[in-house]
Amino acid sequence: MANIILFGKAPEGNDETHLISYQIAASSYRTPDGEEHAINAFSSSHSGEVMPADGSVLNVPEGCFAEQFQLVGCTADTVELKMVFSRMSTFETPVEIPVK
Amino acid sequence: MDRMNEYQALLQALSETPPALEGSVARAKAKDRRRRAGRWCGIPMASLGGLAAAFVLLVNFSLPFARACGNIPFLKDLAAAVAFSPSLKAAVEHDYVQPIGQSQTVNDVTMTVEYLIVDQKQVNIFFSLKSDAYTALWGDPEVLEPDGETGGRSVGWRSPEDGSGLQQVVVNYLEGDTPDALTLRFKVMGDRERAPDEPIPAPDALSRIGGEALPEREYVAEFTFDLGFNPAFTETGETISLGTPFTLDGQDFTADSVEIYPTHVRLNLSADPANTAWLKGLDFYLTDENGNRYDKVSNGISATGTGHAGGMTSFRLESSYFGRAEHLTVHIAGCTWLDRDREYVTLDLAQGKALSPPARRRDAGGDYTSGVHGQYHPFR
Repeated sequence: MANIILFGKAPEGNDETHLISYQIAASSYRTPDGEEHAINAFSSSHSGEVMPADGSVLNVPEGCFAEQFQLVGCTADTVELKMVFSRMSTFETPVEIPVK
Repeated sequence: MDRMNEYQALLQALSETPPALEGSVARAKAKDRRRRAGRWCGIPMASLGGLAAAFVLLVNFSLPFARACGNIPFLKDLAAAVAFSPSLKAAVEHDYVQPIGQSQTVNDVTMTVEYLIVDQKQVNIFFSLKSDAYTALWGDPEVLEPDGETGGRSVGWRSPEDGSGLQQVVVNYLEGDTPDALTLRFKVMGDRERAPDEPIPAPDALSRIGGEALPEREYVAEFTFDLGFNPAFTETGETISLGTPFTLDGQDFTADSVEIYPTHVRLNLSADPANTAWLKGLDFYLTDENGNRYDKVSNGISATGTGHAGGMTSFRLESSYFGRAEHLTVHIAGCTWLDRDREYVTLDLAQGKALSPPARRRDAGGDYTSGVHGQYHPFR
């Protein structure tokens, strides 16, 4: 089993009373034999620290949240993790589409 | 008596009321009053039945009438139940609600379907669960279609955080339209109030030791409601065809159409097959000529896609339906991409690092930064 922790930048509007996160990794990964495996549970944390299963403590970077999940039963040295997205863009001038 | 005296005497006789006609006007008035009273009392029972039917229809299809009939506490609950959604809130404010008021009681639990908010693509069922025997009630909804089909739709359930007030089941139709009727089956679970002298269950009866799954809870009641929808609601919606080409970050799209319903707005796109990235999210909003702005939906489905693993093709906004605007404009302020050659990231679990570049953010101005990033910390 492997424990994975990903850090994502907290989106606009996130504060102490409105904890907003988004999914970074999708719900599956591939092992070198080409087999696809499911990831069944995710958790996200906005606190200052996260604790992986090995008992260590990791600091969550300022302005970020942590996404944590396990690759249950995984014994491979490398895996390919399926992602929800690879980049985000913000436009200085929004693209306008007239509707009516 | 000369002829003139005879004529005067006749005139005098005519001006006097004959004894037989004394009080005739008063008698006629009294008779008329009796006749009117008789006619009122004699209204046929069929007419009363018609009035009763009209009353039932008004109560069921007119929110103002239902309000006038004193259902105020539940309207307060409905207002609380839709407070999270600008679209549903506007629907209630514009009396776009179908009152139901169907109630059933099973095993000391009473379920009442209070209201529906329905349009061409979405059904919102608001109901209450009440019981003196249970301190908390929740459950599993099942929505049955008239034709038995369950594809092409999603079913969600929402309960107030404190457990009181109205609960909500939402049915979203992705391609097809809302049917004329649905059956809601709701299986209820509950926490029962313990008597003061009743022993508290041992801890291992509440949670199995060793990480085993908790035993499945039993249902305390099951309800089935057949719900018919007002056709005026199920037909409500407008589709505006566009066919407008546009480009985002060098990727080409066509805005095919905008669908406007009381519960939400859909922006439907098609992507150029030559695009190198899938569109996974859209930061966008809608404005009208009156300065109103309609943002992304605050709850529920925000986007749907049709292609394999690919991008989203239909994105949802809060509804502009009740704004009755003559001019609407979509504004796209940002987007989320999944590059087709970066669908997977390789992780070295032994060394705890990513072997391929993490996700990234490109801010306005075009430079890549490490704004949104993936830092991979794998531990065995």
